[in-house]
Amino acid sequence: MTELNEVTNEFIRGEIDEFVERPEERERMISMFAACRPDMLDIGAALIEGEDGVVDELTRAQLDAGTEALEVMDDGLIAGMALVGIKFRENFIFVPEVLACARAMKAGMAHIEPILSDAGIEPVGKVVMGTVKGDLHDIGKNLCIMMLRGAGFEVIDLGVDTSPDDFIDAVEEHRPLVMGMSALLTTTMPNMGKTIDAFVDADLREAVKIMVGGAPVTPEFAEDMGADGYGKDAMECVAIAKQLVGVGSGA
Amino acid sequence: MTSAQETMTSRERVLAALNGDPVDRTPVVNPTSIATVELMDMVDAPFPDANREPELMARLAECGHTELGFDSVMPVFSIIQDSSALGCKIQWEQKDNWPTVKMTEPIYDSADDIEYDIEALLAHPDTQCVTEAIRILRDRLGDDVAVIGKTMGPWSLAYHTFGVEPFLLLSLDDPEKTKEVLQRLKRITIDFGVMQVEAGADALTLPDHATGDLVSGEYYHRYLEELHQEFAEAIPAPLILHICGRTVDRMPYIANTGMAAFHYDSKNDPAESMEAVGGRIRLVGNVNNPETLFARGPEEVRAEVIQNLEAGVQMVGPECACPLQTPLENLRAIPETVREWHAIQESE
Amino acid sequence: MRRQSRTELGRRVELVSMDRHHEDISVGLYVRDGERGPVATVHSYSGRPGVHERLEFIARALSELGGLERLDDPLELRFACGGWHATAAKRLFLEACKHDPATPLEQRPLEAPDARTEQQIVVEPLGDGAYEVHARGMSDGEASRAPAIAKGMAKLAQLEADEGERPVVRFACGQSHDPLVGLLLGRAQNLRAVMREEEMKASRGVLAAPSAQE
Repeated sequence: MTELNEVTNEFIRGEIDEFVERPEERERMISMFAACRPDMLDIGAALIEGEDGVVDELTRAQLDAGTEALEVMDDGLIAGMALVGIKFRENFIFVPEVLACARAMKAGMAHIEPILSDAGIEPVGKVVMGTVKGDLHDIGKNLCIMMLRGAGFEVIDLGVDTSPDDFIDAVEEHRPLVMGMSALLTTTMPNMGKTIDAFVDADLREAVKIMVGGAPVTPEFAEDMGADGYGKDAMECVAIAKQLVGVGSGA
Repeated sequence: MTSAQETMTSRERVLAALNGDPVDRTPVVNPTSIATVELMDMVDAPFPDANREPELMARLAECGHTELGFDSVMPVFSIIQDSSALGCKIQWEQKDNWPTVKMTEPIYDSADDIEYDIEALLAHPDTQCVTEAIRILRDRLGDDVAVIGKTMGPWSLAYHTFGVEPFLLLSLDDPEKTKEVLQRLKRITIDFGVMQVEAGADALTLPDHATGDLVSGEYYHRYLEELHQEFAEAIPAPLILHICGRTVDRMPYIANTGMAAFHYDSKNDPAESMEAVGGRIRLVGNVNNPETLFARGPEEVRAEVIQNLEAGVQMVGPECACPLQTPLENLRAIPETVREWHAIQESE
Repeated sequence: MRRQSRTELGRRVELVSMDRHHEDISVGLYVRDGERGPVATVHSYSGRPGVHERLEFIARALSELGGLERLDDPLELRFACGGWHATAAKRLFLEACKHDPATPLEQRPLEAPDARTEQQIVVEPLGDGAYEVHARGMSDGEASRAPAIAKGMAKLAQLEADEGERPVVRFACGQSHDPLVGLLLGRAQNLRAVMREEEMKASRGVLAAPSAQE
């Protein structure tokens, strides 16, 4: 088991210690950050503090120095955002702070996205992603989208408050292999089931694989409502998506 | 079941409750709208016109007492009158939907942009509609029924004029500028409020949406607590603060403001909320709108009303503006339940 | 127009907030207990001219399109089976309000071309409130649309759907409701449109705090 002191960035160590309370989540965060290089942790730390100017500068510097865009994205930006997501879920921070972190993320991604698009990677598959009807939270969804794009998926972002009809429209228009739904509230979670039902009613259930995720969602809930896959966080989202399209081992 | 003997007029009851004085029974109060499409039909006063024409506004508001049995009437159904007068673009919508501010087209970018002629704002047809409707209601209802007006707080006005996300980012990036925004907008809250009191309003609802799903209780304390104290001193009528969502964490601060009452949301347990305010401010609420008043029946409404009464909540009503399609039988169930409950208490 | 007292009306089961065919009045369907079972009433609080005639038309539409029995009061009806099919009643009421008064009121047949394929959908009454959905004219390799349509009908009116291979739906009362089934057949062919309407309806009339507006 990786120890907290193996995370070399003091600020991030402090964040994990103070804000990540669930044992399995703590273990995962520690392992993840312990495996990141110090330069990546600096980017992550700046993002967690909402310092968009610093994230912009550090990201550019790393790319200029030859660091792979995917490493900066995964280990710098997405890792940092994962911690932000936990703090927000547990009400340690609120929407203003999250908006500032999202702004910092955007500042970093502005340098990374062009590189990834130019790389000419053959898409692994197409995914449609949205937060369900009634839910205005998008952190989890946005993290998944970034991870999926980083892994080579083409992702269509439907945004938040997505109705069953909008999901169906998107699947009919884009013909993705996978559709992902996220919910952050227990009150909006049932809309995942309603959306899957709507696909059944429209005789389209077989047209797409459906994966679900979000803080209140459990594997049992996912199974009950008829989803094909469940991911507990953005990191798992890629593995599930790969599994559903039949690519590699899903890791 | 007979009702308990009522010795006060509706107006006396509401004012006494707001003041923390004894009442003959718990008043049934609507600090926010109880307009429905069926009531609009009953008195031929449909939206959007009922938000813009004083006679229609008054007629529709009056139903709250004459048809539903509430102790108060509140003609300012929506939350956009002041923002419209400020120059925000409004989507007026149709009969079955609420007018909204087009926050994707903000009118301000920074605190320095905030400039308005207060006299012109108060003379604007949409603010004048409110004061004229209050005059009409006062005239028709005399001293029998409480007339409640509404003036939007500066945090909500900032959402409308800057857009929610830009204003929230400003609150983090530049707290001093944020305070300046609130200071520049507060005059609207005060002057529009005073104008309504002078027109005959007995009390005012003051919505200021520092809601629990967006900002922390500490934010309320930092940005709004003192301002709200200022409003309580500057506006010569009892104020009912309204903030949606989970707000127990900020209720102790709200109780410091000197406002008469806090209108609270169904996400907060009545007993827990009463404990949080510790008797320093009265509570109004908190029957759930979307799941109870709109979607269920009188029995479910009854259960929530009783929960409030048993917790000692001083005024009972819906948690917020009720959906326009709410069945009348559910709204009527609120005063009916309050009367029945008091009759039972008296007989025991 | 006689305004019914609220105790006579009973409980509101469905509301059309803005009737496009009559000056955007709101029209409700109410149900209360009657001597011979539940009684539905079509009602509006509007006192505008012509409202009573409009309500009478809607009541007639409920009868002609859905097979409900008219009672002495022209705005009151009941299901012939003496029971109450709540979801079906709501669906029927919405359809009745939508019906253009300029077009004749005709019971829908138990047969219709499928909206998506060349198949012809036929609903066969089996008796005891049961109906089997058949699809004819399938091209080679094409799946029958009958199961999907049967499921749609079951969903629209909360009918029981048989578990086995045959696409059979049935009314819990065990009585036939042919006109209602004809109406459901049409709508079951495009559940998405129904869903879209319901979503739009649900989004109207709820006041959102500024922070909750998109």
